[in-house]
Amino acid sequence: MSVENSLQQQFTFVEKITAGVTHDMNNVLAVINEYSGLLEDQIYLAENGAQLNLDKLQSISERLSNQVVRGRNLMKSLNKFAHETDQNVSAFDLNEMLENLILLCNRFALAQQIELKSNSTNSKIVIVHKAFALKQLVFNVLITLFEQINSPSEILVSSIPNGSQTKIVIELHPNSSTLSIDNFSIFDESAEKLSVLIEYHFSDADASIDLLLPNNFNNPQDL
Amino acid sequence: MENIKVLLVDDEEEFADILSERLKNRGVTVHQARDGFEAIKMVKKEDYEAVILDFAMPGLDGIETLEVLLSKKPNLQVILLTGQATLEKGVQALKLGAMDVLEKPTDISKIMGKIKEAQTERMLIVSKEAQERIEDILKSKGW
Repeated sequence: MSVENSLQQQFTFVEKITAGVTHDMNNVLAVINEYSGLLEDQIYLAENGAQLNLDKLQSISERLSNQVVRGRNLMKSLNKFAHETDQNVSAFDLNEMLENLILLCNRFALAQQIELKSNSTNSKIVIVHKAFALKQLVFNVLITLFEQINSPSEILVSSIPNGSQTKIVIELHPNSSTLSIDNFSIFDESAEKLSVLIEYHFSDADASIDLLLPNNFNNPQDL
Repeated sequence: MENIKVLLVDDEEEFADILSERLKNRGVTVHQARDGFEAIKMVKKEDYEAVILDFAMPGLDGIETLEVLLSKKPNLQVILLTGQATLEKGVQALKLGAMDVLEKPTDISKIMGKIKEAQTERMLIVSKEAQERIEDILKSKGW
């Protein structure tokens, strides 16, 4: 892969993530805007003789707080994502990275009527790797998978520690689409550069894609 | 505002619920659809003064839904809501026959203004259609 192509892929990755999060953030602001308007309506009604409904005000206040939490989580994810480019190779918690990626990818999954979930345990799986490049690879595999799915489905993403290797498993239920491994072959080169082996298990009922990655790189320069 | 019925199509349930409540406070009857497929079914069954349609939805997006809705009911008044900062999709929607495109979040007064415009436009269309029918009947009677 040429440097130009690699940079182009990185730009596309950043562009998609940013577009998805800003769209979700805009939805948060739209909801807050409507709650604010609803409060104005309540004040207007009260000024015109109606009794203030305190339960309703309490409910609006709680739901506004929920939207602030939703917005804060989105911004935290985007900020974390932005800082992943700071370090080339670093130690990080794979489960946290996958959770973060799922939040960032959710808009694309929903657009295809896919429920994207994390199936990872709460425990930390610390690996040494290129967080940004690895996230880009998992993102590209997920987006390629989304594009081939044409009916409501569920995708579970989990991480499984296994000796000196860790597996990221992407499972699709049910598999009512015709998945083709050929569509994923464009990622072979970038996977190889990251010492990641991708295995595809497609059957008529279910499908899974396993990404096998080393837990630790003794020689980060190899990356 | 009397006898105004609009269809609000948005997958963001909380947003749709609050906007519905605020429109109802202003005398508008609001039906809701969560996606384009549901909207198409509802428009086939009911007559709406306006359809308020979100751009980004699962399944059929706003543009695809707009195309199907206008192919079924060419005079339908569709107001699109967009969260996108670029104009490209908005221009596409207007070319396809959308009544207008509003940026989301938007002010309730802008939406109400567009609903009133849609109602007026629809009344003109209904009146014109009635006039044409009367003229056809008169012609058929040799008048």
